[in-house]
Amino acid sequence: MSWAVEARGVLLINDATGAVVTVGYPQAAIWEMLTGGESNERIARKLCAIASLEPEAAEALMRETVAAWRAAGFLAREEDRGG
Amino acid sequence: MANISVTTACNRDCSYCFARGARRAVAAHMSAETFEKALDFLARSGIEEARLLGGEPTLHPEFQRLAEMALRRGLRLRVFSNGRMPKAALEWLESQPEERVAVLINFAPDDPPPAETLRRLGKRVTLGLNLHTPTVDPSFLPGAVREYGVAPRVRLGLAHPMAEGGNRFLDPRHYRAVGRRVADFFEAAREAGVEASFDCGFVPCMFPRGFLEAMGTAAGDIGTQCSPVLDILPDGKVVPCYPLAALAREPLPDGETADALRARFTERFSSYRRLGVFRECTVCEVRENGGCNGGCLAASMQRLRTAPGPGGARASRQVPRGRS
Repeated sequence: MSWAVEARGVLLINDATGAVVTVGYPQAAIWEMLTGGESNERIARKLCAIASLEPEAAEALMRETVAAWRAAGFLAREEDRGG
Repeated sequence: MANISVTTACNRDCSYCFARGARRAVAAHMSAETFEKALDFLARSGIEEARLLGGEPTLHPEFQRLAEMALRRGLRLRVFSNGRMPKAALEWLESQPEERVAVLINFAPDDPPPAETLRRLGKRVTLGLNLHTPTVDPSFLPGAVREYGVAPRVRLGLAHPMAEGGNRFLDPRHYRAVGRRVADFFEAAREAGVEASFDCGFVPCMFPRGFLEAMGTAAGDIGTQCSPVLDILPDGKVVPCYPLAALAREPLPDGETADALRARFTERFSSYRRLGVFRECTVCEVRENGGCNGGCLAASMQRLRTAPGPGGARASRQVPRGRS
């Protein structure tokens, strides 16, 4: 999995399949924070400020985004890869 | 176009060389049999010029034999050299007609020029300069053309990164500074009757506004050059180009053409072609309209970040999938 920060978001590349996804904001910020090692809870709190969301909406956005990336193969649970 | 790298041997140690990854303690030389296969590959691909690279190609112990094999096939010969060549190679090149044999000699800015070689090879020589830092100044080249009596042509190249790292390259952050310098140089060269051309990786946005239009046909294919070139290594493997050599290589194919192999390499890297050397490349109208491909792919890939591998940082509960 590789990614690059672009002018309007983040470009995700699945090195194994060649799949490419362009992610705009605020989802691009979620990706940046996830790859920086921040917890889901902390990211959701920051999303409230970044995207002017209520806490419930931020948590829902976080959940939906992570689920979509997991389904598309861009994310894996740490325990799934022996972590 | 395809290059044949006949040897890894070199008598210089340029920090920016993108073939550094191929160099080793004991030099590898291409065998005559592999060279013959490479010439077959050029022939069935409709390529009319054998372009010999190294290392320093004239250090191949059978340089003259290989060169004559290419000429016997009716190919033109182009040798990419640093100018520090053995006496026998120099004498042989000097004896060849200018219309059949050309030598591109890359100046090393920090070293004295190979004056005798330049004077003896005369109009067979095109001078080249690799821009590996923003301070490399090509303005001396028209004077060098006059002083050594070489062809009134110069070739500028950008130093590109090897995918695996290990060489000095021009960071795209400096492209615009280099573009301004090159634009000034281009005008001065034109006034001196010296034609300047550009190797791969230059992008339109590095030059001052209006410069490419003013260049006219001399602008050539700036921005869209990478096809990729194909470099055939001494062991007979083919790579898309030296900077990407660590990421893809295939045996010299039997019965297949350069176009077919190029298409396969292009497909293999198509996902990464979405990148460009700048963040802004993904929203660039020139690129959208086909006027630029985003610059050197190896330089673009320098912007990539990757997931931590097993045992690496893993602070989050979800982690990006690692490279497989």
